Amino acid sequence: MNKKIILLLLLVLFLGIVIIISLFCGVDNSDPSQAAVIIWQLRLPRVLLALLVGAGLASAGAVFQALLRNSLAEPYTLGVSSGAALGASLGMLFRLSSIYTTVFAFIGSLLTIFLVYTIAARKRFSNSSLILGGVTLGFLFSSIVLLIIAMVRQEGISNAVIWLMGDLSSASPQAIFLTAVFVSGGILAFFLLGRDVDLICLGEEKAMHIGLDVETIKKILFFIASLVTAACVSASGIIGFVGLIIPHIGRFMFGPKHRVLFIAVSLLGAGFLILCDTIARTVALPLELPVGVITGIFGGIFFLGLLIKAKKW
Amino acid sequence: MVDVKNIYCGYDKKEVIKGVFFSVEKGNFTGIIGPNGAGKTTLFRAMTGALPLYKGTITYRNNDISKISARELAKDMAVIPQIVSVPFSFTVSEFVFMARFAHLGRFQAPGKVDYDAVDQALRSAGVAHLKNRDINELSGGERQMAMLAQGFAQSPKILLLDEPTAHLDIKHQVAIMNILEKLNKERGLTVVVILHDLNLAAEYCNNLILLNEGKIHKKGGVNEVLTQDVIEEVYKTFVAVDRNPVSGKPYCRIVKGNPRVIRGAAQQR
Repeated sequence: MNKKIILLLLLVLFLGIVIIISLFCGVDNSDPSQAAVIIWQLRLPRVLLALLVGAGLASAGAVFQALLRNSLAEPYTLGVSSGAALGASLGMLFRLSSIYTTVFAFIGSLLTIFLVYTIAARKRFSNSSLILGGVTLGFLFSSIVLLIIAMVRQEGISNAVIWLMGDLSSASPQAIFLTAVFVSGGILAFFLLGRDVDLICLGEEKAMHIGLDVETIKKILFFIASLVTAACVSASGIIGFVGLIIPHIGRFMFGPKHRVLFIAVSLLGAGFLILCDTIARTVALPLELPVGVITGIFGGIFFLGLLIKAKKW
Repeated sequence: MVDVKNIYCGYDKKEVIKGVFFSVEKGNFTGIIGPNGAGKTTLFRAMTGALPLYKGTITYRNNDISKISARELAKDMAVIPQIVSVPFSFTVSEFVFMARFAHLGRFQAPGKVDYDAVDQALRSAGVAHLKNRDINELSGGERQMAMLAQGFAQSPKILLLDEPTAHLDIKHQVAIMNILEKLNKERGLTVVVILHDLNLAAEYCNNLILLNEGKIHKKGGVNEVLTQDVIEEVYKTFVAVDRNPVSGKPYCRIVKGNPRVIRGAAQQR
């Protein structure tokens, strides 16, 4: 137990260092008065958003993997991101400002959550109904997004492509507020439901025999994890990898008990995404790369190394 | 303690259990036996509250089981199914600890009672030395023992087990049954267990329920249920029933060959 606490403290330290690096890394600016503006008004909101989105996606991913009892599950498995993408691309189609993109994306993901819930609720909220309903809806919405991109050959639509790859540069105060509310509320709820999530891992019938009201808890977890995902995606586009792999790294370091795991993956996810975003905006100056690409490339290489070296898996 | 009153249940309109009555008294060691497809697991799932009934009622201490919350029921009843698959690498002690869920409030940290219950459960099942091992890296026998420990850690008054000895060697079969008998005798734990092995059932149970085609074919003490005629009628298999020389309990001997021919040979002798 003490070992885990020390490990958690090290993660907090890691997060702190990453934040400081990110705030002071970037285009060199010799004028000190301008430097302060860049740090506090441009970089800080971006770091905050990366922190929230990284923590939100990683913890929601851990919930979905337990809920669906499938280590390939991630926050986007049940179509929430595709619904958000549909909303966002519609917003961009009508050339609305970026705050409306967030609002439209959020509405799109709420619609998806509602539809998946309605389909699954008819089948006693079974895993197969959740997965099949969610994946199919996700596919449907993604196809419509691609249809929009293919048909509308206007300038604004390239924004949609960037958005689809994940983008933290448009960190508006509203978007930060939205994610802050949902992510912090969500992680708190996950933590309180940690023991319930452990039981869900044993399968529905065994969980029930140990005393869990399985269907209700599954619905609650689905709702909260989906809302967290919806807020993250609406604020920052579809950033991949974090929600899939960070939970595995968390379990590798801390074991599968979910109370500790949720804290760990939140810290890991936040640090990881801030780091990736720092790389995304500095590695190819003056060009800025989409952060979703960096999470995949750097995260992928790192995780492959871990996978090959570690005795686990 | 548990009263099953004229129940009908099954899956998707297919009725598997058709009008079953029986009672499990406190402190009983009851075996449910019967051929494959007789409805043993279906009856078992109905008794645990996992399978809704078409007709009839099952009560636990005179309360309808379908109206007791999962949490309340779990404080008294532990259920050990045939298989529990765990997707992640929980350690044995983490796995066993989960059983304390119903005894803990949402905001309550586990206390001495809980740690003691887990320690005792690990020791009773003989898996204390495995407590830091990954549950998914245990052998079949060790894993079954860990599942048993999880059941004990729930501090149940009644324990329901679905074929706990399936696919295990005789060492583990006997170990499991000995533990159950010990808890039954020493702590008055009521045990209901599905068994395929008739001789294991004869040796340990004091009540048997023989199920066939969704109905109770015979119930009662081991000497009434395990007779040559009854077994041949239900299993369509000839067995020679005699006594276990040590315990004096009925012992079913399997005989090879065509049932009709051997039956003829046995009658000639």
